[in-house]
Amino acid sequence: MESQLVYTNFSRVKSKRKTSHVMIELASALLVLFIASIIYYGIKGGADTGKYMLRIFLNTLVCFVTAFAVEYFGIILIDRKTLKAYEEAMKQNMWLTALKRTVTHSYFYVTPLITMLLFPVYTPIHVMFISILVGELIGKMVFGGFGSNIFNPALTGRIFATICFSQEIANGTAVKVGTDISTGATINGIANSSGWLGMYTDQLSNLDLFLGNYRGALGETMAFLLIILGIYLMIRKVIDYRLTLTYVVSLFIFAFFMGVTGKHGFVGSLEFAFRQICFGGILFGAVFCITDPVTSPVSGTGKIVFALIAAFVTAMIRYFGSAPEGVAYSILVANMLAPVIDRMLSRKTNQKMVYQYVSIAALSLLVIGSGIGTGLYIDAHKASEKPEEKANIRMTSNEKFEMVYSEMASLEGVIE
Amino acid sequence: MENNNSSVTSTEQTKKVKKEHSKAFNVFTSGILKDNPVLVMLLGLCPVIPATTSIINALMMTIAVLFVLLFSNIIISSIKKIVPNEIRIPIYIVIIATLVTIVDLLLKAFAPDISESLGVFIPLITVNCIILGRGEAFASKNTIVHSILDALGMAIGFGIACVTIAFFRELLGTGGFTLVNPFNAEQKVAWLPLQKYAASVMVQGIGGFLTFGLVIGVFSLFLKTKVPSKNSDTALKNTFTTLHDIVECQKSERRVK
Amino acid sequence: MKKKISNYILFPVLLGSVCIVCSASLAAVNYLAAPYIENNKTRKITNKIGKFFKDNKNYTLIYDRNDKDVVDPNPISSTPAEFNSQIIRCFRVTTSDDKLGLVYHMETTTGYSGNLELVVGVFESAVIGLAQVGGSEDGLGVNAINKLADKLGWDSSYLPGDDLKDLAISAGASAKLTVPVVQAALDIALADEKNRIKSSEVTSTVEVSSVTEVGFDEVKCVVSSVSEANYASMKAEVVLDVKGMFSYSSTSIKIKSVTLLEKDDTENSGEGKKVLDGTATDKFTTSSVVTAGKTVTFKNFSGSLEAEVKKGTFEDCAAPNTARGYFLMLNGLYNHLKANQATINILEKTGENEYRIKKTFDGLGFASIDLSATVDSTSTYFTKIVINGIGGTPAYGSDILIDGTTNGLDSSINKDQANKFIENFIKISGSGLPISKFENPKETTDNELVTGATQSTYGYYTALHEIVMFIKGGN
Repeated sequence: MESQLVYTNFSRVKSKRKTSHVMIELASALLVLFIASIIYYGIKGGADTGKYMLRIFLNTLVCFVTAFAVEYFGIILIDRKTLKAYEEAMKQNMWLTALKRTVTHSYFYVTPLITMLLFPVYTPIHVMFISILVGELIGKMVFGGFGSNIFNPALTGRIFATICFSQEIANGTAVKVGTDISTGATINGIANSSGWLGMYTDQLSNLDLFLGNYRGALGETMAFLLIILGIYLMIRKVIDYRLTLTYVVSLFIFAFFMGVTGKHGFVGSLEFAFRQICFGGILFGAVFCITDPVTSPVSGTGKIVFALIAAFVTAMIRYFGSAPEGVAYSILVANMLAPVIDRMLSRKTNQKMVYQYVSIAALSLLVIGSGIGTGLYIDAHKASEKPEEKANIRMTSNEKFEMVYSEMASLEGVIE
Repeated sequence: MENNNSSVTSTEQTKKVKKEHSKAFNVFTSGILKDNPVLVMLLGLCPVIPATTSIINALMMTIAVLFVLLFSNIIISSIKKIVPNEIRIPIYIVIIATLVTIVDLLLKAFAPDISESLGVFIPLITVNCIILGRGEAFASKNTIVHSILDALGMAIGFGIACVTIAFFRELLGTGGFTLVNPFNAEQKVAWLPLQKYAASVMVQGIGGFLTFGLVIGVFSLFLKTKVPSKNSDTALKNTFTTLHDIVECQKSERRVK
Repeated sequence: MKKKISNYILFPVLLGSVCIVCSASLAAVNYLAAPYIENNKTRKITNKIGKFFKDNKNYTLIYDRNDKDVVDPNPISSTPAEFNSQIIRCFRVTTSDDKLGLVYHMETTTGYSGNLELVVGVFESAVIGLAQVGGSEDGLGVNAINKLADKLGWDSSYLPGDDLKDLAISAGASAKLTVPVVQAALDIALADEKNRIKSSEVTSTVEVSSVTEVGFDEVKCVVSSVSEANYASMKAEVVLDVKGMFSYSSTSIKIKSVTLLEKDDTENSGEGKKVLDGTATDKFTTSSVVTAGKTVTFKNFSGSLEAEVKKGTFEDCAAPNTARGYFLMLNGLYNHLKANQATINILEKTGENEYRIKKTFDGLGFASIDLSATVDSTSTYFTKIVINGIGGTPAYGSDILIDGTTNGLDSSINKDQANKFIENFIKISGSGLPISKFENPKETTDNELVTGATQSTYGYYTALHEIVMFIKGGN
């Protein structure tokens, strides 16, 4: 009976508002983001705008149709006995009932929207198709449909597509013109190869980063819009503020301490931390992916613990792993732990309350400590590669310039 | 009187023969679908994932398993009278290991590329539950003929399961089918219509487990082999077909025993 | 009642007999199958030979790492170079038009989680075929290599310096480590090819008979090159302009003059003469033959002859062998100077009270220094110190020694130490810098030298110390 209290189907939670209203507000927030990115690519696309728009349209179509089809047939298969009973009792055609249930009870439109926003603009159609198919089928339907899934379906599909088609997705940030790929390395790629402690403000200024004036996945880049939408949704109680805020703030603190030990100074660390949370999918994951009520714990402190774990794993994968982006993996890992968290932290007995506080304190310390440690580690790692005397070319006079220049050339002979 | 007796015994005899035939038939067919070792009994899963990366691999693995299973069943069934109960397991394992090594050597000699692609999973047939399980459970208690039929049935069932999984994995993972001559790997016939869209992860471990799980699910759906618990909704729904009846039943608090 | 055989006897007898029967059958099968298995191992590799060189006439095994009895029947010279330890077997293949190619069976070093066994086909300094035949490497890395193997062929071969990096993007972390290891193996194969197949190119033996420093700014070398090809042998005296250089083999060293001392007489007339005089108008002569007023640096002679031929430098030359001979002679000089780095140590009195020293230090690149010092009439003070050049890309040394300030230094340099050094040894104030300060030699570990600019300050101090010793020696 404990399971019935804890794994409560979201639709049975008592609240003044019906679930469908909540979902529609969430979907409209996603739509706002979607339209904003379409406008951005429409303006910035230049000659390729037509191709971008066509591709976005086709991808959206494929996503929605596939999601609808999978959920429709899934509902028919899973609930067929109930549907048959309804048919006999209320003389309604089984197929139509299933249709209605797909929209009203299963909220099929949320997953494809999230999936669309996770991919870059020029993703090939088959990548999108496989992603949404796997996400819906294996992330949602196999577990029993809406309300019974363990993993976030959009992220499941995204991970599957990343493993299979990472090359196509990487090329999807811009149209390939002949053999000339008109895309530069993404900011993640640069940071991944050149060290995470750099600020790279020349490659991407703070304002550009904030406004989303660079290439990336559709929903990830516009930091300011995501912040506004996140605050709005939190106020309207569509998403739980504990999850979002804990995730973002713990990553901010992690990056802050990393900056401090990485010798950026106090103010510099603030800027560094702000940059770190603005790129990659962190803000998008915080607002839309981690807050999925089905896959996150039910209890309040459970949610905070959940977000702390996700933040820690994100930071580890991003700074020490070879994958450039850790948000999706970390949220899936935390999803796996959600039932355990609930089971351990849900009751309000004295013992369990101690567990709650202890676990939050321990995890926060872990995040801060690993932030400090990461900064020190990356800094030390970088320092060991510096030669004893740094090259410091200063041309103060013509003579010196010539001499300096010839010395540079002669170095080949001496230091080979 | 005598005529009656003889006619009685002859009908009895035909009945006995028929019963034996049907028992043999049952033994044979149970391994294919009803008691499929991979999809129903979930035995011998270890070689299934790597051996189903392509259809040719699945077929070769099936042949290897068939060979080992057949001969081990025959041998075990023929020595079942001599072998005392206490040491039967070591003896069975020695026999199975010998057979597996023979298969491995023959494959290395005559089909080296298959041996390479199946790699370490040929020797792992030794600990395959199907072989030891069938030897232990069936061959040591039944006649040689029945053991042979059982071995054939089980191997065919294994083959069906493997080929089904391999079909989907190869289609989705490489975009089509590639038939390779097992004895000479240079001769290939490939039909790859979807090569550009292939999800390469399907021929790796991830795809293997996913496909395997989905195939088991679909299989059990169509064969209706799941067993509902006593008072579950499914049990009620199986008994009563209309909502009205369900409500009535719940009202009167009758329970299905 | 039958007497039951005791369990202690029955069980071992049964087990033993089962084991004997099984072993006997295994032995029989092994006896039958073993030769096939042996064949298969080598056949896998020889199959690849047929795949890479489709219409080959024949091939011979010329090297087997595990079998000392295999010898090369036609070695390129009487003492062929050793095979790299990563090469397991090497086959020489004769193609249908009588050209020679090589096929290597080699293993790589550890990539991500294991090594790879490769079969590499090499023809005319390019890799035209690659196949992976074994190894313990991870699956993703092997996938990437197989993709590369599919792409390589006669039309799209791999030349040294090609970029294989695009393969590493989508396959994940293991391919990022596997691909460089494979690339290193391909480079080894290509480098070995030169030791096995005689190039049809012109070759020569170059001997540098003398390298003399003339003052601080010039080096005179006498080099001779002997070749079997016609017109390609010659001997010359080469003067290099090494002003400001601390190494005689830098590619930016200007060749001041090349005076031919001996040459084949037939070159005195015709096309050869035009090339050597610098009057011919082909690519090679206009770019690389040294004449008065033309700036030619060692850069033109630092590559190999094959690379230059591929670049097309000798395309339109009317005296090809002469040009190649000239090239080989200067190329040999460059290689000789590069291999035998001289430690420069020139100290001269350049004027009444002026001394100049140019010095390099073994293993201390930043310490090389070229400075001129003027002393006062009593030789007790340095009145002027001019640094003509310091070694390496100018570092903190430049700030300290040349500018005499610590303003541009990084925070990792101890500014107090640097200031003290400048006070003691660089700044000239009053009547001058006492030469007594430089009387004692210093080691690189001396704590008066500036940490972080140790080499530069050590070089500076030692140079002045040597001048002081020179002065004291009554010069």
